[in-house]
Amino acid sequence: MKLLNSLQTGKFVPAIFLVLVFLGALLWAKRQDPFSRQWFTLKTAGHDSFKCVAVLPKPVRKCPVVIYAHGAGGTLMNDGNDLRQMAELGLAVVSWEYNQDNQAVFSDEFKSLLNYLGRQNWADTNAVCWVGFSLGANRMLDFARTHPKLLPQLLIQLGGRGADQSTPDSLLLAASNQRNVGSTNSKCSILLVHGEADEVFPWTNTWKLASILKANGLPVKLEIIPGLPHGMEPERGPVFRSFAECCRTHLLGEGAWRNYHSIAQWQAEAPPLWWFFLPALIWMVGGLLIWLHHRSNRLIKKTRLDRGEMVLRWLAAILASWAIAECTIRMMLPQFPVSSKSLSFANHFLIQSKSQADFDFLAGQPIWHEQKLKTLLSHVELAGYNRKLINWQVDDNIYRDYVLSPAITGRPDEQLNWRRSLWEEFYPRIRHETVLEDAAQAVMRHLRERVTIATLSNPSHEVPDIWLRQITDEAGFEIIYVAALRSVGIPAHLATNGRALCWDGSKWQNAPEHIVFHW
Amino acid sequence: MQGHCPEVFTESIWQASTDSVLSMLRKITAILQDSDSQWMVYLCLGIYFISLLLLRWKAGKSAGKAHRPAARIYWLLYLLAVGSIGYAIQGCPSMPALIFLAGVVIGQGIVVWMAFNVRLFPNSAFRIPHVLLLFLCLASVWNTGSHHSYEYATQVRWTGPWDNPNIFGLLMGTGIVLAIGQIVLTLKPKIQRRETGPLQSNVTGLTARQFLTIGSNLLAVILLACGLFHSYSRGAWLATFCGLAYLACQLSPSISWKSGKPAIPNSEFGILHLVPSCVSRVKNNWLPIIVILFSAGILLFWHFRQTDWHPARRVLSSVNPVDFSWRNRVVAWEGALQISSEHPWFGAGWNQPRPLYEHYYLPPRLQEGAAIEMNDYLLLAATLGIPTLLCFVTYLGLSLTVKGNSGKQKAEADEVDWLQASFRAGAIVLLIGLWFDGGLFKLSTAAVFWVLLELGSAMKHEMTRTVAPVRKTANIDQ
Repeated sequence: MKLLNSLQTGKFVPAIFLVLVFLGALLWAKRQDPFSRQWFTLKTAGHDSFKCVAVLPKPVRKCPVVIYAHGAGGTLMNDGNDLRQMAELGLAVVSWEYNQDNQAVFSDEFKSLLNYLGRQNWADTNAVCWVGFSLGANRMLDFARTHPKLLPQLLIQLGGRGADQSTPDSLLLAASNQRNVGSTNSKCSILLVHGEADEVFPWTNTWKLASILKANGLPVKLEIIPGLPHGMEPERGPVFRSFAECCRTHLLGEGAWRNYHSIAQWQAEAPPLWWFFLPALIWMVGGLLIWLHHRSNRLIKKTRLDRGEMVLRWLAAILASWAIAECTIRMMLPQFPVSSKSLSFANHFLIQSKSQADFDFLAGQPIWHEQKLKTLLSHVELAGYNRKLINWQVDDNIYRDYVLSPAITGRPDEQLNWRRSLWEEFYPRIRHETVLEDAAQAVMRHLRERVTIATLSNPSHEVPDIWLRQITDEAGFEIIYVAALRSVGIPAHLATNGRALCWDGSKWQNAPEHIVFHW
Repeated sequence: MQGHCPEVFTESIWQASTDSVLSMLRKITAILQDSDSQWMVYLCLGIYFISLLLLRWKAGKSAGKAHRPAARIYWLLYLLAVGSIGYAIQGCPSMPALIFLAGVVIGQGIVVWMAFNVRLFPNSAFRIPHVLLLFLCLASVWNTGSHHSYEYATQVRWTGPWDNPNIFGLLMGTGIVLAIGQIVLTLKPKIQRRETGPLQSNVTGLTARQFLTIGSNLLAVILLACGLFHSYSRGAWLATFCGLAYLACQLSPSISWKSGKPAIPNSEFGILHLVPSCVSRVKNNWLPIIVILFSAGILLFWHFRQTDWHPARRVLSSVNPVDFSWRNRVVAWEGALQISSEHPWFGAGWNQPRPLYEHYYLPPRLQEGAAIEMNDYLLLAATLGIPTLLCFVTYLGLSLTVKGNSGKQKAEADEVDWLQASFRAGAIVLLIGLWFDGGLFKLSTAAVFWVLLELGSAMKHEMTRTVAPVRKTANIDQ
């Protein structure tokens, strides 16, 4: 009865509204999340339990599986970024908290994990890759030697021990076992990735291992990355992206990238937030109407307004009208296409005196056919804002031609609306950089973490498209590279050979090179 | 040279005492963080909590049927039970868990202490804001120039004795609300008597003691406002505004309004007559006032968003689309919701949300995951599950909407009601701060928050023995 009374008096309206808002936000956040993470615990034959996690791309479906073993001192919690980097490419990635002291226990755990994966709907057991990093690589290689029947389609070793000269017996054993491996499962390919400056395991050992495996007829690819230490920093992100691309290409074969769906696309396709708030809004409006109805019934007579109250109401009406007019002009005008009239209005209402010169320069460019005014405005505002924030100076002429200007390829139908999304992504990476070259390195590194380079048939070379799909070919990558550099205030343009050039403060030079493995 | 000796001596003593205090604090922190000893501290706190609850229950029972402990305590019990079970299962030290429980125990402890000392010190509840304000005023002038780690544009953000300007700002805001509450508490009987009873013979109607109280509280407001301003904490600014708004709303019903117009000539009490008049006018014209404020906010945003005046720029940055500070927080809220949706019932566990967020949920463009610790509501949901968050919010709601002690026919207990309202206003400042800046898992804010919340919702018999002492004070005033 008390509950009914409180419902009638509307006490619960705000509480239920809050609950609906929370649930709406929860559903929205879940829908925005491009991954599903499954935490589970498995037991070995000896009843030792160990924790595992699977990071699956959404929508959850049958997809190639990558089993990842971290390095010494690594934990399941710290694996997250590496796992997500691989899962982004449409791979189901699994990691586990393995025993780092004992190879036999590791083998038991690994076998239990493989058994478990064999029972999962989302795991394509005909397309499996094992990835081991450092100690994980050594353990996986040892497991592979002793369990040739369980070998995957692809085995990737990152910074592994390789063939250690100090233990010739184990080397011989390795060679003979690899021969066995080759005869049992000729499909198993091996990719060995090693940093040239590895301070734990010299790259020469990996090179020797590659030679031995090649001599035994196994398909082996060796990638020695110049200047990288054992931990692969600071190129860890691009390295993981690169070999995950190799995984996908190798496991799915031709057409691996035909149905590739990026996480940016996933998020862009998710319904907007207000959809999820609709139930709460409907509830609130209903509650408000009922409350107003009750209130009007309770009011016996209307008191006459005194002069002060009248003035207050008039003031409210005038200010509200003014605010609505301001909002309309400032929010609607940018939606119009660029024309002499809209430019004139924008010049009058939207442009501040300090941005005037940049606005005039951009407005005078013959690139705005069928483009919206807001694109032009965002370039002027953001480039100017970024120029105030960065720690280097650029000459006005170079700034306008190679930072402010959104035209990169010079094609008449070029899409120009890219600055905001790229600036939001890249500016946090370079905010502390003081040297142009270092900033360009940071941009390249992060761009390579986000965008796949693949051989595609007829890919789009528009910057917004590339950024949304997160995949392009070499030429497209150079185009988005120039856009990313410009977005953070580094002057850049395309050379005649299609390569990105950037300004180092005194001259034009090739932009830093990116990592890519070709399988 | 000799002239500098006393300064150097004082400085060295100050330095030595500060060092020894800091060294002691470090030792205590080390004990609390140690996995071998922390669980014992946690257990002790748990025992304290149960004992305090039993004491409150017993005191309420002996005071009569009307004073039985409120049902809201069950929500708190569930909350702590889930937290403690999670702590026990996890089996590793967790400072947030410890601080959460410690805050609750401190809050309960203060109320029990008051309830059991109410015979000896009948007005102890009225002294608590003074003590709190004294500490906060000291904090507001603490080494304001020595911390340069936080800056907004070129302005140093004050942090006081804490390591975070947001915490500093929140506590300053809480102090402002309490101090204003104290000023109104001192003035309130005058306002009421002006409307309902015989008028005073002197011009102001205030005794020297009341003048002193008002003066000292005004000084406190100035010091704290200065600290709040220089903290450049937007969350604290908003929270203080909301706390003051709550206080104003509470002022309205507790004064016996007639028609909303001042019924008595203004000559007797100076500007005091304006207080009820203004509040009443605001109450009768809330809609146009909201429209005016909202419209003014929009116009200010459009015309001053590029201003070089730092405070205005700071305020307007809350709606600036290129401000990463608030956008990173929104991204962290999204991450916390995603963690909650994957661990809806019992959460991810103590200490887990931040590493989980950093490694499994943080969008690739961000590198730092600390923002997830700035919203304590979502952090609580991610740590202990959504039902626990609902319990916490329900407990807060029930605590803040607790009915006044006085009732209609007990106007003499109005001062206690007002005191509790000012405690609740202080708690509201921190509650809003918990959303934007966090504080539930930091001892400085958590202790203040739980103390204010519990005092704001304590039962009548816990706050004052009878209404007599209050009446006595009123008689002295007359």
